[in-house]
Amino acid sequence: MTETVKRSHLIEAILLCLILALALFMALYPRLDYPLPLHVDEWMHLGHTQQIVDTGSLSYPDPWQGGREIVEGHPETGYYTWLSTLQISTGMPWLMLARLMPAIVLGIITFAAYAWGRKWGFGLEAALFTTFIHTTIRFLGPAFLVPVTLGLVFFPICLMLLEKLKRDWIPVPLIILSLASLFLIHGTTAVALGLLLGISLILYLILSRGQGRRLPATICLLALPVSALAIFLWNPSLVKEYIQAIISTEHLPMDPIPYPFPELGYMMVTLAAVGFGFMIAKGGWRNYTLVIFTSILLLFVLLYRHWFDIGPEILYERGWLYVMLPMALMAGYGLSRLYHLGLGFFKRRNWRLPLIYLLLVVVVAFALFQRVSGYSKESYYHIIDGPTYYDFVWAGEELPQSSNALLIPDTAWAFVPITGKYVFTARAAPWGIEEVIMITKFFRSGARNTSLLVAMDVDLLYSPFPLNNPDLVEVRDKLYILREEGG
Amino acid sequence: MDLLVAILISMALVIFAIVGEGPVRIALGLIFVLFLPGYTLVAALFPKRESLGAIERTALSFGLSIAVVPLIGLIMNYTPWGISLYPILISLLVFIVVAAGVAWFRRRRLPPEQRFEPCFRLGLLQFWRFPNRWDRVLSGVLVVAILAVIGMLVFVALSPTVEEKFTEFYILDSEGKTENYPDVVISGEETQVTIGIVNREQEVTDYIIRIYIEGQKVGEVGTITLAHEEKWEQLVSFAPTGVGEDQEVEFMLYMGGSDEAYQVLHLWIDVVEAE
Repeated sequence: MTETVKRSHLIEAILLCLILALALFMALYPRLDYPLPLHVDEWMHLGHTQQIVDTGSLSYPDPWQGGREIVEGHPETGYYTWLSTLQISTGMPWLMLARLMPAIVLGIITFAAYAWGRKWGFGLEAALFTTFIHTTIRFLGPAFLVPVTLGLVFFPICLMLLEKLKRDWIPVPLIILSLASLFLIHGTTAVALGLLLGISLILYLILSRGQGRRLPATICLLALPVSALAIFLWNPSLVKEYIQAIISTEHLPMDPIPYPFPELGYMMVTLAAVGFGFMIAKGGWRNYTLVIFTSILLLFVLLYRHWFDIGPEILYERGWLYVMLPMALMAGYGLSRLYHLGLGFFKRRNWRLPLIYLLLVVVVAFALFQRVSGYSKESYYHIIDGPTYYDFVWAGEELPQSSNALLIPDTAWAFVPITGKYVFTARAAPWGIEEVIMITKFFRSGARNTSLLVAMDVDLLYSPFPLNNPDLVEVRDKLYILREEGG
Repeated sequence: MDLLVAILISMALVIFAIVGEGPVRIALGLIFVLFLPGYTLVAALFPKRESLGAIERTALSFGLSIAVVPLIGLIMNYTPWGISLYPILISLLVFIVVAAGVAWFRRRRLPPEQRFEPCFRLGLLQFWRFPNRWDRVLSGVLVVAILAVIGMLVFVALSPTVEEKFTEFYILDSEGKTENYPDVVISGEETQVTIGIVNREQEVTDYIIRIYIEGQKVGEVGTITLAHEEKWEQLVSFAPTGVGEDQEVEFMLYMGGSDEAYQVLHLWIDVVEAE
């Protein structure tokens, strides 16, 4: 046995597998009783990706604007290219892709956190708490098929590459490549990662004198802005849009987001605070990086309402996701340090190991209980129900490909990926309330104005209200088509 | 060996992609996109065993694959071939083969003891032969844990389906399409539509279809008995009698012996006198 596999390695492998299973469960949790995409963004990303696969190009008619406008230089192009490549290569049905990929991506993030933490003796703990990263409608999260989640993979990966800079040049292009790719996948996440890398490299250069090579780190630090060139070269106008977004004073017509600590579980938050303290006490560029990065982001998301009044609120809300990953790593570190402190404290007692293991199990079980309870409190809306899904599948199979549909704008998000057809407009609350009211009123009044439908180039309607227009044929419950001569 | 396996898996995927779809293509495709580009890149850049541990190497392989794939896709967008099946497969295959070639070349320049070579511990698969009972139990638990992860993935991929109870009810034209629904109909002459029902009530269900024009019954079909997920589609005739424009035709679906219509579909026709 010892020649093939050491027992401690075996136990570690078992625990890692169980943690990966937990990650898959956590990513699956919001959709255990619902097989379709949950968040409106998931439908949107599927629709964009489908258009890329159908047209073979990153310039394509906007399916949610009836094809009237061309999508060019989308800020999340890298994500759509990645999803397109995945779908093309696997041939996976779109809905399976939406269901499977969040679980796989969280599995990868968890494994990467394990690989990074393992080097410092808390791989399993880091991996365990990484599975706790929360998913909500407001700040998204790893249970959704969204680019911000994919971007989280790069944090532990770049932290690992940073470690290699002490001896080698090779991590420099890899870090720049990762950051450039992330700028194309999700710009905001790339800025957050750039901040982490910047802090880390500066601290390394200041604090690691005589402990490794400094030139690769210096070059890497200077090259960080170069990675942003990817997005500038791809679409220069995005830069202007980003700057406008950052300085705008737009406010969402929604209640402020509640702090997600109860959902994360106070046990994990406490362990993160303990880990934070231990990291400050231990010092070193690596620990200070996480401490400073987390502090900046926490200040950003906790205090902005009092101190700042610029930038879209959504930026602050989604900043929570970037806080949660380092918090998870710190919680892992905190738990690991407490465990070793316990071993040292009771070092002359025979019963120390059973006691400490028991405490460890209790702490982990309690943290897990709090976390799963937190998940169950979050309510996820469903854009469509089962019958509507089958209505859309039928419309996709039976109606002409060139159809342009009018629906209640939030339902319209799901129509495009399922049918492959265009919709007149799609809006998600709280945006576009006027359009929602206008279209609802139009449906409620029976959609009798055929010439308006012709002017809108609409030949297919999906109405929650009965329509009373002789130019329409109700071909299926709620689904109406406009006769050709109706115009 | 590992580089050869990477290339073989990539080539197998290309063959499976040509042949069609299925679970093997999905499994190979996931490895092809999520792991191999990064793995071969890491192998090319870190040929020495001591440069990276196996776990770091694995994690970097996943992460760098995610970094590389969008950039390759972006490049393909600017070629005449675009982002479609064969250009994507071939470009990724070329990347993997080139990176594997560089890795092979760089490894060959190193002394054998310094070269990275993955070590697969297949001995674990024979865990019941371990002499110590505790080791046997642990190894068994590990196998169960690995199966749990795989099982979770399969569960995620395959389940669940929509479990709501409902019935699909639709009308098509006489040719089974949505292009030529009856519009102008001669009084007294039969006209046809195709009516379809799909039972998703999770149980065997009886249906009756009744057709009304301006509130007057002109046809009935049924009883139609369908098992769960069973589909019924048939041409149905009806003949209008009254003359007039915009006459409302109602197709009413009754379910399970109820007197109340479960679903109603509408179309409007102009009924004219025969010449």
